[in-house]
Amino acid sequence: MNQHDSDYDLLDKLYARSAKEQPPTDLDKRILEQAKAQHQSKGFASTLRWQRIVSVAAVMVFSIYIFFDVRHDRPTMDESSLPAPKNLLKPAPSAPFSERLERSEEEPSLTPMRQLKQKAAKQAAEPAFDGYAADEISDSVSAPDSEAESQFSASELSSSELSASPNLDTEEAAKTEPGDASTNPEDLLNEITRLLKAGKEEEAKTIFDRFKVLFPDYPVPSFIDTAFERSKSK
Amino acid sequence: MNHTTDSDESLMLAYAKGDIGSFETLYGRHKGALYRFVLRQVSNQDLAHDLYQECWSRIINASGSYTPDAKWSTWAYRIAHNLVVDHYRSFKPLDSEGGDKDMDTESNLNAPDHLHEQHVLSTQLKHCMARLPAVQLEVFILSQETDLTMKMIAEVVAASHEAVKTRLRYARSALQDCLAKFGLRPASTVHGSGARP
Repeated sequence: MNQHDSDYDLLDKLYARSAKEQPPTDLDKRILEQAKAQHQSKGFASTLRWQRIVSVAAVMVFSIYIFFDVRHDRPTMDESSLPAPKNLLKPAPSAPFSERLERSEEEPSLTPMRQLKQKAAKQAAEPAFDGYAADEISDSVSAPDSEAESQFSASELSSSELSASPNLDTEEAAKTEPGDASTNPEDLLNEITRLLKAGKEEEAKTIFDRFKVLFPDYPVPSFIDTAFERSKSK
Repeated sequence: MNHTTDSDESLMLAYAKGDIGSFETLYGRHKGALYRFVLRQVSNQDLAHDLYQECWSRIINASGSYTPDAKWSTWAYRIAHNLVVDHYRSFKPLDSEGGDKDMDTESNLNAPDHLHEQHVLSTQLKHCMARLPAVQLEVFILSQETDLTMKMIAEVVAASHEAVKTRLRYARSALQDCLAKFGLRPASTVHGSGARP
């Protein structure tokens, strides 16, 4: 080792001995606190990021579910996909029913839906109410207005009351009559389908005509239209 | 959790993932050297503290984007170098000699009655270092305070390998000549660089 290298070694050793300065402790503390704060803010940000991702995923899953659920609930055009027809005939209203109908038509506070229901029930009552004697109906119609008004207010005329029929054998009527006291469009369509399958085209046509009056804009499965057009051409 | 045996790069990556203990270990390992690197290059201690804190602040903020492509020391000292250049050297030409006398005064150097010999020597060395041109001083400090090779030092100071070797050689020679004035060694002649490969 020459003098030059030994001089450099001496210089290095001299520097190593003199390099004693350290940062003050308060400076250390500030820097470490900043490092902790940065870590915490990063943690919070990453949590938010995960929350955003999970929220977006949940919204997408929910939207897809809603989309398919709505599609499932819509009326299908395929005859085979229709549910099996059920006993749709509901009990006809009691003796004073026609009177209730008369009174309710006079009262403007009823909602349009209730009026439709009453109309449908009224139309259904015409062929179905065989159990009523003609004098019973006429008696109920001729009752004084004031008495009827006091007995039957608009609030009492619920759909269940309109369809209640303690005097009619509903099961018997359901077997023999096309009875469509129900105002549910799906129920009516099911009944029409059942009758068409059973070959009862005329009865099906009757209900179909009523259906078109009640729900003129409701989509009708194409096979029903086809069936009636075919029967027209015969 | 003991991080003493972990490398600087793994500690930095661990901190980026949220391990504050890793940062504490890394800070304790390099705080002195980085502090002296900044302190030796600026004349004012308060300014040195500000720059030092800013340097670590930038290291902390950049932790998320740190990748172990290079040595952590190279990366950190590069940040420190840029900071010193931006905040301090804009007021002082890089190649001019030093000579700021805030750190040590002539009167302290000539007071052996009151100072231990070691302290005198240290003071003399600091005085000589303060007289070095900034580019030579920086390279000399990096060669002393870190284990960076010449190539890594060249990356830190954004200069060529040969330029760094030349700066270090002249810095050593200048220091030796300066120390010789205080009677430590006879004046040297300029030989090889004496730098690490």
